[in-house]
Amino acid sequence: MDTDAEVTPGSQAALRRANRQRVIAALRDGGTLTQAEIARSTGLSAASVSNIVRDLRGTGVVSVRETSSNGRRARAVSLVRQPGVVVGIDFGYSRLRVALGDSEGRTLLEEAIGYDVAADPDRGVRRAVWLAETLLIAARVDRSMVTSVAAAVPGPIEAATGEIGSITCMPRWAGYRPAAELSERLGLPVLAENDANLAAMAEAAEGSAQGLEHVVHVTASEGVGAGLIVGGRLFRGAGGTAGEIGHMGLDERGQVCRCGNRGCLETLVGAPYLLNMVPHTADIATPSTLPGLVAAARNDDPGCRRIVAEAGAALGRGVSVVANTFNPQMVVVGGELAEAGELLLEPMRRAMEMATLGSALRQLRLVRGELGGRAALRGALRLALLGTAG
Amino acid sequence: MSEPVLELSGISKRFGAVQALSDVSLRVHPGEVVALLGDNGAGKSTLVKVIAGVNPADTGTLLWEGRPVTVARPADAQQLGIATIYQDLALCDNLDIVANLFLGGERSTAGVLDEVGMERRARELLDSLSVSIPSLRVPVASLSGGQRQIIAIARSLLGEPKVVMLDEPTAALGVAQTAQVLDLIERLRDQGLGVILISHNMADVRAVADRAMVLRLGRNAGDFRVEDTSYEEIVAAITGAADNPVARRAGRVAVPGSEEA
Repeated sequence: MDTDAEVTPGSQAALRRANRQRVIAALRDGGTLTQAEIARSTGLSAASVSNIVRDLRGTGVVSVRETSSNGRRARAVSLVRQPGVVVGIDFGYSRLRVALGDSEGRTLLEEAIGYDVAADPDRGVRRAVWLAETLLIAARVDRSMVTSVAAAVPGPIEAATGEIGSITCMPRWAGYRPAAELSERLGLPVLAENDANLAAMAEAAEGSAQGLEHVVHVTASEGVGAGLIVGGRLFRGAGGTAGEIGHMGLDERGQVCRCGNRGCLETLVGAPYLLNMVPHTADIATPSTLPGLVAAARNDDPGCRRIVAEAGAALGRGVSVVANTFNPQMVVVGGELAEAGELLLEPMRRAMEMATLGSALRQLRLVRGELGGRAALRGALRLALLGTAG
Repeated sequence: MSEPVLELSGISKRFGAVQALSDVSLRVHPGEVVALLGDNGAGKSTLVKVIAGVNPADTGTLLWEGRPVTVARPADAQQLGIATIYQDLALCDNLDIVANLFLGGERSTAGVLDEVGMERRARELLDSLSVSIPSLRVPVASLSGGQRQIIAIARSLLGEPKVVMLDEPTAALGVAQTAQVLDLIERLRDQGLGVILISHNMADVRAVADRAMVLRLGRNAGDFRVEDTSYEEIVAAITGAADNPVARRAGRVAVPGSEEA
């Protein structure tokens, strides 16, 4: 029998890793255990357990103390710190963010790079894997210590198939299955979720909306989407696409949207539409990106201020519908457009006052997200942690 | 797939008592990134020097677009369209970007340096690579490591090569800068160039390379399609674990179901 293929060092390493995971899992469930108990609960031999415990002790994952069991000498093993690192990945339109988090939810290491993510999903995923691997190497974290990975993608993910829906601001990603592709390349379990939903989770857990039960989080960047927290939980809807507010019709004489309808909210606040409105003045460099437009507005460029203000008003009218439906305690605005601050929020507030029921408005606060561009990434880390627990 | 732009076969090279390369083959197609991997002393640098014409091979054939050629001097390689960027980059820190790009190939009109023309060409070149550098008139000393690497690569492109060899382009770079260099490698591939990437960093190789060619002790130790190959398989080829007699013997006596602690 030719078994060469099965005993290449790769597979031995994999087996060793799996055994180590088994020991750690047993300790996590059972607290402090003697080596003999670990051997019984994992089914590993006493010698293997002894070796693994020695390795884990060397790296500071477990502590070992001499004790006795049934009158015989025994070694009690317990976890020093919760091992396990989670990885969060945020696919932006032209930016990739990856963070490593510990089991308590703290960010260990974070890095963002510019990348044309929208152009090609395969390349985007390949580069994200590179960034994750590079951070793991930089943090000296062995891949076997990674318990879970979660990715934020700019578009709804269909719950049944894991595919990105056809209405996304990155059309080439439509029908792509980001979780499956990432998982195959990383060799780790991966969860994927709409970035608007993850940003909502993060703001409700640790940002502006901390401690609130009913929150609407609006992400306005390339496109616009919302995450709904209802009763303290993320509301995903039947197919996972709840909160797609970008395609509610607001202006029946507006522009035709890529979804096929006319005058969608996105045609009034989406980055490409706003950039199209920028007046071309000969002497000043015209901003060609949304952050550029926002910066110009903050620098008192009258044309850019007007564009941001009108976007705010449109966003206010759109969000009013959501506010009337869900009666939230807070509306949080995030995404690149939110960097405009009150230039956006003030007109948005006025529009909401006109279009929202008084009873719904009474308890409603409209604020800018605290986590800024990192909201979706923080949400991805949270999702990865939840994935570990569940 | 199309015809290889560069194909080496049976390459051997001996330095005195040391057989640095024996019967090595390598091929690069247009629009393909081939990673050249191997442990220290595996023969990567020697092979690069053979291709670049610095240290011609003792025996073996070199096909350029299907025709046999001899590369006896660096100038031969450049003439064919092989550009090599070594680790030290060979940039002049005190000169600005334009001067570095055109160093030794300055353009002049009527005996005067055509600074405007060179700057325009430099801007075109960097734009075609989507490299954004605010001013081309700053000394290279003030650039980041990643930007310097990019300038060194850009300089080699002025000769319109068909194959670019990069020796450890991402060593000693930070994450964001490495990402920029990887972007540039992707763009070279998109422009139809063949790229030979020498690297020790498996993450970088997995991020951009199409194929990984492994050298071990001066011999070919494997040629893998990166997409279909696991990290462990490539590492096994580099370290020689795959053909290690001890590993093979262990395989024969392994008892099914036994544990490896």
